[in-house]
Amino acid sequence: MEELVETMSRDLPREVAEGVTWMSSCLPFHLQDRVIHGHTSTYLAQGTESSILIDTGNPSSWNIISETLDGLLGDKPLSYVFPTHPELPHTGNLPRLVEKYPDIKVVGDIRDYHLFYPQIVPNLHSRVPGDKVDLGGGYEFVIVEAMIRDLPNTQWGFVPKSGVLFTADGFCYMHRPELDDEDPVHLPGECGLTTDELSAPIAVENAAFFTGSALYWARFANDADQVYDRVGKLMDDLGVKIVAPTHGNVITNIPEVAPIIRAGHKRAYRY
Amino acid sequence: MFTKVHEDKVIALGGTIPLDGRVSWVPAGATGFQPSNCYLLSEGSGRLLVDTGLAVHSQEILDDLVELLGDDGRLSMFFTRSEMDCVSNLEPIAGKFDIERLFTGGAINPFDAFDDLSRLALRGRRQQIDQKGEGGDSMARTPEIEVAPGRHLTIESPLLRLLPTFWGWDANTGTIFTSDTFTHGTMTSPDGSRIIDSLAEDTTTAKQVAEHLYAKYEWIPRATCEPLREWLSDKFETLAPETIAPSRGCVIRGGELVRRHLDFMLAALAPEKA
Ligand SMILES: [Fe+2]
Ligand SMILES: [Fe+2]
Ligand SMILES: [Zn+2]
Ligand SMILES: [Zn+2]
Repeated sequence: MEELVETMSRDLPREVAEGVTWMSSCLPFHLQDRVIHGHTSTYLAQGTESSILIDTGNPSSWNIISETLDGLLGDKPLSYVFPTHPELPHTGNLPRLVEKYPDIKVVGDIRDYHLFYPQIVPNLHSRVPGDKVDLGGGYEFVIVEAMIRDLPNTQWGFVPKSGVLFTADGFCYMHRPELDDEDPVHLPGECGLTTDELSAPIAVENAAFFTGSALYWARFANDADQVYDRVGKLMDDLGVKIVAPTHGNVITNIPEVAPIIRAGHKRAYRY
Repeated sequence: MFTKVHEDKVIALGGTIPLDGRVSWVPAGATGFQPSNCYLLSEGSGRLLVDTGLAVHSQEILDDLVELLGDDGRLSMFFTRSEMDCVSNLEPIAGKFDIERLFTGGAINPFDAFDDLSRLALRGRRQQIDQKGEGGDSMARTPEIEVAPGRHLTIESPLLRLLPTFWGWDANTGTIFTSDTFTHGTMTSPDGSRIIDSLAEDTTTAKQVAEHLYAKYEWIPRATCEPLREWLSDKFETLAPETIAPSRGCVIRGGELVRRHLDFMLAALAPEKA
């Protein structure tokens, strides 16, 4: 049988903060002279009573996501899923999740989903920034306004007890720019590393490359400073300790990494 | 019920969406109905479906396709975007008809969203239409899709886009497929006309066009739009389309109407002057 599952590092799943587990698969991007990898991550936040999956992962990774959930949840069902926005890498497994966990609540800005997935309408529950989902044992998931986004119905999320901010397409970047042709996949272990464990800092060019393609508008809007000033204020107000993007390593040393992401975003502007 | 856009050569299929606050890509407070479109291009025995419409309209699209394709249920598909408003009927259509070729861009294979069986059977039919160029730009790798000998759809990645997007140009019928731009034409009742083709009856305003554009392209009002305006004027001047066929919103048909809606769009792309 054809191997349909994308690369998933052996080092994942990994608990990156209390109650927050990082699950990911890697998507290869073919450049002219080399292949680089981008994460498509999902995160599981667990309290004592219930659990929430942040983004659904790529459809092609479903089998491994499903098995990983079995391992993490034991015989408990998944209570919630929070799709940050309706692009396939973020929502493509929604119907499969509803099939596996019929009572699951899909929470967030659920505009459009009734048109795409009519079979999951009973599971859709609209939430707005500021709304909270109680997971038990002091764990909550808070809906946050997405300050960096592509589609208008994008939202971010936050787990206050662990200080983890889920930023969807915000804070995304590529890693391992120096891979040569003989080395088309990431090095063992790289995909499951946090930013303070990477052997070298993220290159501004790679942050710019990803921003310019995933956040195409950054080529035309020269307002990175205003955007990241607002994001910085939000992170201070919330008390963010860790940033968990969908397409990049988990960011644990925010003061070092945030300026690189900001510089990459600025460099993506072309006019 | 399907709508003939250009005789039997271009036929619009799909349903309408009630604008009731549950749709993200229209301006806040929008009311009425918006058509959701996919298009069947036919020439002899060649058929190409441009997008697949919304899953919520699955049954009516399948019924129309059965009627239009007859017994010989073969067709190819081209996706203008890998977003769910374009791809979400892939599985039911692939389950009922014989998909010869699937043209799609981007890194995600839309087949993977569906069950293993159809995925395995269909993966090999997919043709990647783009490649990454300098600085991550999408470039068309399959610049033309042959519908039938003598009838081609020319593919291009537009400068004006949000996510990876492809426009199609059907020179044979003068139709330009603009995906998620020019989506502003709505209807007051669900059985209204899917086509705007009378200058006298066109009630579209510049404000409406701008608001619809900014609803999805939130960044336009704070962007450097000059290159986008230039690109768009150039495109329309070179091709001189007779019909604008977006993936949602009314079809705009007739040279004068096309010109008028292009002017509205160019004005929307001059937010500093608006
Ligand atoms: Fe993504
Ligand atoms: Fe996105
Ligand atoms: Zn994304
Ligand atoms: Zn990797």
